[in-house]
Amino acid sequence: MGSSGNLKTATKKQQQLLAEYCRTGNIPSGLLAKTDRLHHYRRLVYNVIYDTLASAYPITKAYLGKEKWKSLIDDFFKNYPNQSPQIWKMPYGLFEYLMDYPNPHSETFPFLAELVHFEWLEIELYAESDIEIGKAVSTLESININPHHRIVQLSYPFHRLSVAEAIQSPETKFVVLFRNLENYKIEFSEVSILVAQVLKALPENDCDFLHTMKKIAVNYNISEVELIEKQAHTLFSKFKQLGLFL
Amino acid sequence: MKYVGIGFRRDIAQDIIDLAPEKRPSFIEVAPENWMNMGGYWKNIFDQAASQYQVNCHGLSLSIGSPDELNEHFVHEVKDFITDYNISIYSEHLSYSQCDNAHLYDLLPIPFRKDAIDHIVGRIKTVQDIIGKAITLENVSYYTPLAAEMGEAEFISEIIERSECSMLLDVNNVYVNAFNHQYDAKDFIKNLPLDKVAYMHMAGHKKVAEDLIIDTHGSPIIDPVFDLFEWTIQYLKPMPVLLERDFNIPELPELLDEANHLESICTKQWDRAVI
Repeated sequence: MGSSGNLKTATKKQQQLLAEYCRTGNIPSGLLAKTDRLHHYRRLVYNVIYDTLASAYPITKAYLGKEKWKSLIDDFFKNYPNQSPQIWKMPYGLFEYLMDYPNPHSETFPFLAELVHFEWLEIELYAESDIEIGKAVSTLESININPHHRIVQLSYPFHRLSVAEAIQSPETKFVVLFRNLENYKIEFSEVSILVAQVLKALPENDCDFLHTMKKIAVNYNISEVELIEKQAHTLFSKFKQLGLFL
Repeated sequence: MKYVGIGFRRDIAQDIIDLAPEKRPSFIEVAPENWMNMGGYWKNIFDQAASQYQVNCHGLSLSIGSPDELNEHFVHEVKDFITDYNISIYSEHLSYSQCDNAHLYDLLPIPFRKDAIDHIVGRIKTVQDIIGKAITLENVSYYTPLAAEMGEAEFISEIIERSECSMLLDVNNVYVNAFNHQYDAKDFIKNLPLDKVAYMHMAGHKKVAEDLIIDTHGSPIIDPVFDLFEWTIQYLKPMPVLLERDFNIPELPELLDEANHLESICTKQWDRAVI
């Protein structure tokens, strides 16, 4: 750990007061600074937060509108301690804030955390560190799955409807998002709950797609081998074409 | 160019990569936070750039003046990044951007106090132990002193001397601070440890009030800052100089015109001195 024992309480307090002002916009008593110039710090710091989040969450921002969006950002910045030194990762904090911190926004908009998370996954998949990709070509018995993927369960179909429409039609959906390894674009595909479970269970089943399909299908009282094999072939071709299976 | 580099910004990244060799700046500078732990499209772009240019690092989130504990995990990540890309200069700001366990993503002024010097010197030494070499710290612009008990030049000088790091002299920041806090820029520079300066920055700014300039990096360098730069480098050995432009980034040819003007000043002073 770095040394911090040399810093006097009074010095540390001044730094805390300035940081508190930047986060809240309220000048705390005891701050030894030129108060007529402080607003520039608040403006500069706030703009970084606001612009970064606006860029990360265009759909959420557009749905909420200017006032509600600003209110959300104000509360987030005031109450949530941003943890990442890398600003591109900062927007994930908004999801954590909505999930884990008492806040009025999650009560007013119960779908907000899910929407923010869906938007965040696109950023994360686009920018996350490259994962080494095996050279093996997928077969039905041995899938080489694109490692840059996420399988999410949605309560609202944000992947195919506008926010306003999606929240009027709540329904559980499973979506697999993945990075296209050729053009780097993030693509997604809606899948059934059975297929979502199969994709999740592949690693613990030696990546054998057909075997995993049969195993999971039992849970849904599907035991017709011919039907399962036909479906497995169809999905295999589809996921190969999409670039989810390599 | 021999001395002057430019910031590697996403807006002009491909143009920088495609630039003809004879038109290239001396180096490119990046904030490690914006590129490390990153894959996909932007890693591919960065790898192309790093294969063609010398890369210098100028960090944003080390928060060397923070009252919080030093984030050593982060420092190790920076070390991995600069090692992977064979980066020789890792510079940072003499400021703080993290407090009460929260990152603020901008540069706040440190109280110019003796205990803050002791605190920061210890942290710099820890960083240098992890990185395995001296780091370079920049004099930052500030709009209000914070509970200051000594002068800015004395504060900076003691930190640089005691921590055995080198200094990044941002001439525009000196100009901005001299204007905002009503002191003489040349006197201030004379009181810095000029023998420790190893890297320089130049940038544009914006006057927002009769008595206040904001260090925006969003417009071209003005002539008085060029003049202060030319006066300053007569006291300095040749070194890399960065043209900073973070906002309102023009087309690359326009940026290179400005960089070439800066280069001509460096050449005039430093190549003559070498001869």
